Amino acid sequence: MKEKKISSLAELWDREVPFAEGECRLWRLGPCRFWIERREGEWRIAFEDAAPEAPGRSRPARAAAEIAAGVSAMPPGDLAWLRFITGSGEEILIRPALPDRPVIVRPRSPVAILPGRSARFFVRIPTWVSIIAASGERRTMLIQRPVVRLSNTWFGEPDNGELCYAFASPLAASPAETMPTPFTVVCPITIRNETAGPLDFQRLCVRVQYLSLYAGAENLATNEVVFHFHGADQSSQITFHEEPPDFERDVRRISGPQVSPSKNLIQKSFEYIKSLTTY
Amino acid sequence: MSKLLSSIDFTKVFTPHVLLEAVKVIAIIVIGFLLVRLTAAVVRRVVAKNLSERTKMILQKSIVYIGVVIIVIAALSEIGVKLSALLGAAGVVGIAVGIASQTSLGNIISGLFLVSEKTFVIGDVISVGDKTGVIHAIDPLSIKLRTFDNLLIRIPNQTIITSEVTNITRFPIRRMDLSLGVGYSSDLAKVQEVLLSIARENPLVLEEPAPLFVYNSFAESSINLTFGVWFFKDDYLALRNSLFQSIKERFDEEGIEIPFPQRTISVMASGAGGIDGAGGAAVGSKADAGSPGRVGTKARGAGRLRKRARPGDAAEA
Repeated sequence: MKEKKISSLAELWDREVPFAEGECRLWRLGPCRFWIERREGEWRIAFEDAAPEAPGRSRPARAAAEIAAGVSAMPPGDLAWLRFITGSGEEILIRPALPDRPVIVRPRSPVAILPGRSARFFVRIPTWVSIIAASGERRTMLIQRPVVRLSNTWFGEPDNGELCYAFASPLAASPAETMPTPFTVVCPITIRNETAGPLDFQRLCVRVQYLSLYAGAENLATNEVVFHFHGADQSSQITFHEEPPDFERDVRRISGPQVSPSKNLIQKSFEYIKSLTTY
Repeated sequence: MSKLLSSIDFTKVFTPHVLLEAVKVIAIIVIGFLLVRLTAAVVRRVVAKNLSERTKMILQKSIVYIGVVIIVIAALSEIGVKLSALLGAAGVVGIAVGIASQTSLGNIISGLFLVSEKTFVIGDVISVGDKTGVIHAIDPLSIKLRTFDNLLIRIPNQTIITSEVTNITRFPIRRMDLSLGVGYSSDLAKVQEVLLSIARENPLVLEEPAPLFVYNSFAESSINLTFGVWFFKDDYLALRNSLFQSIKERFDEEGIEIPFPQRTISVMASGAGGIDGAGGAAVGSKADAGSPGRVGTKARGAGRLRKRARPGDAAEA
């Protein structure tokens, strides 16, 4: 199998790949591999499940060198194929997507924001991959899968909280410090501590369903989220900027938010101390 | 029979007045039933929008029962039955029926209390005594459980209200506690690290709340501990199976043993010839926390033989 080195995001994402009948192609995105085969009137897709990403591990995904985008390949014989009967269609579109649940970002080292101060951070979140059948102007979503399988986690009280994904990420000062890969999204976060005491948090809930996804020259990125911290016993005010990310050039929007956010969302966003480890 | 029929003058029986009354009664019954069903449906869909399934069901059934009583009374009144006498008789019958149906009434009243408590709703998984299943229906007299092997169990409301009921799926997350035993020769720090890494690497285990790890006891054959991981309630089976596999695999890889009950049998002989020694032998046994796989014999002094036995070794001993 001959793998082609990806030199830009446009080669990997949002590109229509033509298929001849009976042709099979492979995509490899770090830990995730999948094959797509075109048969008469149907598409067949097979995934090779990767080892899950343990939240404690520092590496977000494999190196960018392990990337292939639509190279002709024969799959191993023991894969389970998913069949999608679409009738017609000669092209496949591979598009990045944000996870289907909020992502809990756990900073690798503790961060304290002093009273009245604000800080801007960049975190990386693994993308999902959307496989879309294209036929002329028509687009049909076939399947969405995570590139990196993240561990589940719970945010909130045991009787009233949210099921989320966990991801350990540094709170970087610039996108370049966030270990760039083509299958992770840079999410700019601004935290404003509007209390009289320091904000020292252990976990931050990024509700990705309210974010738009953009592709820039170097990174996939989301619009900016601003957290207004009003105190440990109060929910935070969250503002989502509508503008595209300012740290990327040649930005184009790939998808809008899964859920339209209200102008000022009030939700719990920070967690401080583990409270449920007792017997 | 033909004589009997020929003796009846149908022109006198089916007079226009009688026929009109019959039509009226039929109309009362048909229209009444339609109205009752319509009212019940409207109440269920519109008025009871925010009520639980159980409350909706009880409300609907109450409307139907009351409606049927009203229809019967109206129909009887229409055909000229004197209701005062009937109600008097019904009172007597009511007392008799009431005494006979004490249990049913108890169940109905218990059902009302259960409704007000809101302990469970249709679709919850509950345990009552030794019965566990998904709530299939909540009726005025009983609840019906569908067990995981697809049996239907009817439990009277009175039983429910006087029993300890566990709602397994009420909260979105749960903790799965596994009781494990490791051999006395195991490195306990390593055991803890291996188990916590298994939890970290399983995507179904919630990262928060953190897993529980606690030693319980120094038992006869093992050091017992509880390893508890939190999970989303829908992942129970997948998580349980994957955890058991991971624990077995990792323990094997790391050389951590999960011992089974063992017993050390000491065979004591008065002579110097071991178990075959002359002079008779005393056989005793005591519990031992030795490790499996280390089956062997060890002479302790003249005439005493100590053997660590495991199941299947009896013939050898």
